Amino acid sequence: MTDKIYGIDLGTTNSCLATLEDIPRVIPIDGNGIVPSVVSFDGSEILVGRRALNRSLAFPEQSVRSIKRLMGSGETVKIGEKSYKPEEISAMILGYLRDESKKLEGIEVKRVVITVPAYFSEAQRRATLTAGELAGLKVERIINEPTAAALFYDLIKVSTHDGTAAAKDSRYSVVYDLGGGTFDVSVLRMGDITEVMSSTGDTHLGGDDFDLCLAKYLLERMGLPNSDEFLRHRPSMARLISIAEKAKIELSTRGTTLVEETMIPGPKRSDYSISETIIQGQFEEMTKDLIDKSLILTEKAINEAGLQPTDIDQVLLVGGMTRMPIISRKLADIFGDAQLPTVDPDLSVANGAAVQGGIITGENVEKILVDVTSHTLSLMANDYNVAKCIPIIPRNTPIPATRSHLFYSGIPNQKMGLLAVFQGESDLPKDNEFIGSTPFYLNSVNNLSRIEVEFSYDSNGMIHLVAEQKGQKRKIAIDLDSRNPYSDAGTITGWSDLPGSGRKLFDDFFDDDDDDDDEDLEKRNSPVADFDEDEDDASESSPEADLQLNFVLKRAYNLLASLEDSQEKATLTDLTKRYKAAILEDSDDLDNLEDELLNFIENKE
Amino acid sequence: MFRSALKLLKVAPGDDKETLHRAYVRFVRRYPPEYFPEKFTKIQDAYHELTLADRIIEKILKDLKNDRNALTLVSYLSADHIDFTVEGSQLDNLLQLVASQQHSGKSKIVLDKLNLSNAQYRKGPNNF
Repeated sequence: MTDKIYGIDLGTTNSCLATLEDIPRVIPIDGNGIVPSVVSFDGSEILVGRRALNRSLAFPEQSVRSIKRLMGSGETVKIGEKSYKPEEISAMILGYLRDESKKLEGIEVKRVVITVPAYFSEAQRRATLTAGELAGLKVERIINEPTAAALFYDLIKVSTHDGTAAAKDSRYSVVYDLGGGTFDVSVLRMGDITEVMSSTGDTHLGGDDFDLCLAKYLLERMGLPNSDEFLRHRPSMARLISIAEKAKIELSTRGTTLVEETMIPGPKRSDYSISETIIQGQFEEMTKDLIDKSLILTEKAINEAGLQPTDIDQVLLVGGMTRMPIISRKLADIFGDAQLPTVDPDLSVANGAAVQGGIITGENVEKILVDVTSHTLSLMANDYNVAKCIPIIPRNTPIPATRSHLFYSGIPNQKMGLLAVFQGESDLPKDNEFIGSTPFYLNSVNNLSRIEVEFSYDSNGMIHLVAEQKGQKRKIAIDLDSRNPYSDAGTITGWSDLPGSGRKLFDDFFDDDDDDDDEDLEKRNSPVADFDEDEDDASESSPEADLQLNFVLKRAYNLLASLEDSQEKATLTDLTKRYKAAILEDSDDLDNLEDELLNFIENKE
Repeated sequence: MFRSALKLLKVAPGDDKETLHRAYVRFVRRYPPEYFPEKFTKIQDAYHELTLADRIIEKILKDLKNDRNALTLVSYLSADHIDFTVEGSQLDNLLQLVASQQHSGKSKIVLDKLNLSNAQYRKGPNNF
């Protein structure tokens, strides 16, 4: 029995852990399962969750909140004398979720799916994965939050429908996910399968920014406008932000709120106080830029999906910030008749991650999710003496994906080229995120060499790079593990280690040393692998005996378990076997067999 | 490429968007990405290939409707990583042609006229 895969929403403000039963369910850690993503250090004791949140109000300088915003940034947080990486703080939150699940329900959490904002970069995803590993968890997949929410919504909708089949027509859905620190918007086509059509966002737009807006307004009302001193003083800000957050939450359900607080600590004196009534419309006005930003991105996502707002059938609201009434109003303005179905904005992401866990273990094989890349993957090349990023896998390409592009060497007899991989939408390397690089040694030829470069991006976030010098049998295959791109330290360099831009970039590779023989080249290009197409097929063709590879087989096995008539059972067993063999061998007979099998199943079910 | 894509998805030239999508969904359900990543990639690429023309035409039509200028059109085309250069008179012809089409299934004709053959789909070489 394989271990169950649990779903974790590692949020900026709150985190949740969900388990898949008939439908997914969030483990009620800290009472309702919504665990504050806060860590507080009390001497040698590390508090996480609700207790840490409470303690953080009194001891902000010993506490860490919103660590997600620093993931992948290379920054650290300092608590007392010790510095912590964001991964380490996140690992403490993950560890707490695991330990509490064990305490509450005796669940052993070992394998997990963790969600990240769709717009997270490779570095941010990598940091999330590292956090999981630091917590001793096996991270089976990193999936996008809006996609997870859509998966969950699709599942509950289907199971409340009639329990067997989804409505046949596909619907276009927008997932508008405004969380504590990040904003994502995805456009999906949902029917027999769930396809993400486009996805965009802003990894630094969320509830924290709304709190800050309100905190600054309160400062102004306290007669301290733009007080940098105040803004930088951690205890002052912690208190102010907490006051702002409370008012913000009240304004989601009420037209006005009274902010009445005393003894607010300041940098110099500690007896500031405030008494101020804030009207909902006022708050909406001061956060207008933030909301507008999200709406512009929403329109961009729809445009990139090749749709118009009128094509959208439903809008799913995810993330606590979507409780702000103006958000539904603005979205209703854009989408008119589209439905705004009720989904739990706090829990649906974790629940969706648990659904994905079920897809991986085969429990939910009939649910199919086709997600897309949210950033362009490109290779750096010399474009008229300017170093440019040439897109190989454009953003919004469904994953897994394989794409190739033909390059030419810069000069005849070129001995080496640098394969440097970048992520981002700019054509200038300096504006994109560097992922990894490797030298590619070439056979000397008198003409320009043709070099075909192929990128593959698999569902685990692994980037495979294959480069081939055409006609020379010179080939390099390398894994740029986006989870851990620096593992191959010998060949991977940081952007700062690369030679300067422009012409020089390529001059550096033309050494005068002429005595390389082929064998030497072979070694230098290691790891050289002839990418054997069958390699992956092999793993596909060795599933466990009753592994349900697709919905047809799942239905067949389900029916087999319930059939009583031994003759029917034998027929179905035989059909199933033949179908499975045909699908693995890609036999010509597959279509007929599939029809035959499905007909049989439909007659008996 | 175009022909092998048709064969893979078992569709005919000129099949409309919905038919192509149904074929795509059918094969993705048969070969979920979870268990058949290679096969899935092939299905995906075939679908991409077969719908590319439609998507380009739709973008052009949308732009014409929004009265955007020719530069935008060309930038859209290059955003799809298709090396497609349009010159003076050619561009006028293109605009006229596209404008005369009421979209809907006629995209193939427009495409033929634009001479957006498979060869032109191929991306231009860059120095390495």
